[in-house]
Order: sequence, then C-alpha cells, then structure tokens
Amino acid sequence: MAKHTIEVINKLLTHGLLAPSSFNLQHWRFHVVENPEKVSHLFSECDWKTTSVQAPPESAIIISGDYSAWENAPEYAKHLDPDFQALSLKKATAVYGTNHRTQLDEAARSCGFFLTNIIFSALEDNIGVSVASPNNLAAIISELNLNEATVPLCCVYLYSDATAELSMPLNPSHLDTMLANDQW
Amino acid sequence: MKDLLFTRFHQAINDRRAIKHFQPDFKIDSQLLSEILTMGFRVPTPGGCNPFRILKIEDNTELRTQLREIGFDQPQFTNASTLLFVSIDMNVLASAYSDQDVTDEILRNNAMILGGVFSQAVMLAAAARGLDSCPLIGFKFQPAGELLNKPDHQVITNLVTLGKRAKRPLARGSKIPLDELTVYL
Ligand SMILES: Cc1cc2nc3c(=O)[nH]c(=O)nc-3n(C[C@H](O)[C@H](O)[C@H](O)COP(=O)(O)O)c2cc1C
Repeated sequence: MAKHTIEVINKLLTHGLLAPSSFNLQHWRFHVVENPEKVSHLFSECDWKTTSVQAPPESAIIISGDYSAWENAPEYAKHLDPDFQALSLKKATAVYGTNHRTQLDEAARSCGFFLTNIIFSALEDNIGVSVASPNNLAAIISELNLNEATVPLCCVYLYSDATAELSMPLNPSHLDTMLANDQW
Repeated sequence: MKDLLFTRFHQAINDRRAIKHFQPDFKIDSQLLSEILTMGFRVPTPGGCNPFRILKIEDNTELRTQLREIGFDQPQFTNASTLLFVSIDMNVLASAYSDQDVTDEILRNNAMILGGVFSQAVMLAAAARGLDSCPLIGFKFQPAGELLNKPDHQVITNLVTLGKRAKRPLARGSKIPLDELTVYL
C-alpha cells in the first residue's frame, strides 16, 4: 500500500494549481504514479537524474509542460483586465508564436512556480519531497504516451518522512555571490 | 527539519496573487527583505549548486524608468518597492551535472524551472508576511541584459516585483480543473 493516498497527492496538486503562470497559461500536466511497482518500472525505464535521492520513492508525480498552451490564451485570461483579455492572443502570439525555445522556456518556468507550491505544501504536511530531472526525454515521452506538444520537465518523488533537504543552512558567504544591486 | 520559515505556506499559497498596481510610496523593510530572499536561496538545487544570480533594484529610479520603457510600460517597474531580476549561472548549473550527460535543451529547461522555483519561494515568503508580488516576463530580455550588465554565462529567467497592492486583483479565474490535467497510472 502506498503511503500517499490519491487524496494526499491531489491536495498537493491542488495547491500547485494556485501557482502563477505567464498569461495564466497553466502549462502543467501530470502523471501520478502511486503504485510502488510502477514507480520502480518507470524509473528504470526512463532514467531520471537526481543528485540527492538515496531511497526509492513511495510515489511520484511526473510534471510535463504543454508548450502549445499559448494558442488558447483567451480562454485563460478571463480574470484579467478586459483590455488585456481582448489582446491576449495577439500578445501571446508575439511572445511565443514564432520561437519554439520561448515556448519551452515558459512551460519550464510554469513548472518551477508550480513545484515550489508542491514542495512547500508537502513540507507543511510533513511529506518528504525530492525533485528529479529527466535524462532521456524520448523514453519518457514514449512510456507515458505524451502527445506531440508536451515535454517532460521533472519528477517529484514523495516519501512519508520529510527529509532535511530544504532546511540546508545557507552559507552567508554565498549570499554575496548570489545577490547584486543595480548592476551585475 | 522544519523551522519557522516553513509555516503558514498553505495560507500564503492561497493569498498570493499577481499584482499589477502597487502603492508607489511603500518600501519593504530591508531586514524583512533579507528574510524573504533567504527563503528563495534555500530552495533545493541540483547538488546544492545554488546557481542563482539575483539583481536587486530599489532606489535607482533612473534605471527603473529605463526598464519600464523596455517593459511595455508596465507600472510594476516603477511602483513596486523591489525589483528582483532572477538569473541562473549556466556554468554553475552545468557543473552540478558534470559527471552525467545532460543535453543543452534539458539544461536550459532546468534553468527556467529553477528560476520559477526561486521566484515562487520569494513570492510565498512575501505573501506569508502580508506583502504582494508579481512575476514578469513582459520586458525585452536582450536590452534588459545589456542595461543590467549581465554576464554572458547567466540567463535571465524572469523578474519578480514585490510591494504592497494598491488595487485588488480580479477574482481568480479560468483555472483548468485538476482532473483534466492528470493521468493516474
Ligand atoms: C513567468 C511569469 C511571467 C508573468 N509576466 C507578467 C507580466 O509581464 N505582467 C503582468 O502583469 N503579469 C505577469 N504574470 C502574471 C500572470 O498573468 C498571473 O500569474 C496569472 O494571470 C495568474 O493570476 P494569479 O497569479 O493572480 O493567480 C506573469 C506570471 C508568470 C508566472
């Protein structure tokens, strides 16, 4: 029996959905893997890269991004100012219409905003999380049967014990390297 | 281990909204801003490599005005208390995968993901302290990089603006239901 029920996982995902996304495009798409056997099968087949995981996860959420989401911009703009709403497709086309890399960038950024909501929500509920990066995109696309405009972005491993990963003390000397004022 | 920084996030996740109009006279206390930034710097990164290179702009009104010009005249550039340009040092990020083969495409995706992770951590930390925020990509990246003297090995992922809201945003809308987004394997 997996430790994380669908209810627990859905609660995490629901918190994720409150993340911001550019033009509210919500590029995120999910595959929830609750069954430990499927978890291990998927990981041996798909070769996820992680620098910190020791034990196999109990369940997992694979997050992919729909990089064609911008084509439906007006549908996602209903909460924005009416003048923006009217122009949303024109603006989205200007930003994403011609450049595949800007489409991928946006799908990946959305995944990042989403991930933080999941990580913090898990932390507050004492669920351990760790994030893995895809290595072999083609293998994952084929294993999950992803459609053409969807790219695998990351995998969230879930554990019943919260790990200490997030509370790493920050080395104050790093702060100077990481933070600049007015000019880099 | 959990500490105080990690409490109240369910509430913050609910409270955070993208704010267009900030109170122009409101300034975030510098100690509070340090706490908020620390939250961002403590998110997990590959191998703990901390590839974030963040540029903070507060008092430099001339620079803010120039940025607003290349930022489609969006009011956040001049009215938010703090601008944080989020960038990733690609050399540092690549070094975290030095013993593995990672394609340029995946490395770039991971940079964008990390920029989003950092930004949302900062915005949630702000929301947990009653402050408001807006992430932005609505500016010209190339001229912004030149204006800010960005080194070539850094990639700007987005801007985060922080402050106090002047106007309530419209109700949350147009969210895709979870069951339309999810496959249960
Ligand atoms: C990466 C990113 C870039 C964004 N760029 C802008 C922007 O340039 N200007 C703006 O007003 N809002 C911007 N937004 C805010 C989105 O429009 C907003 O998050 C979305 O409509 C959902 O609304 P909510 O955040 O209030 O839930 C951006 C959001 C993200 C995540």
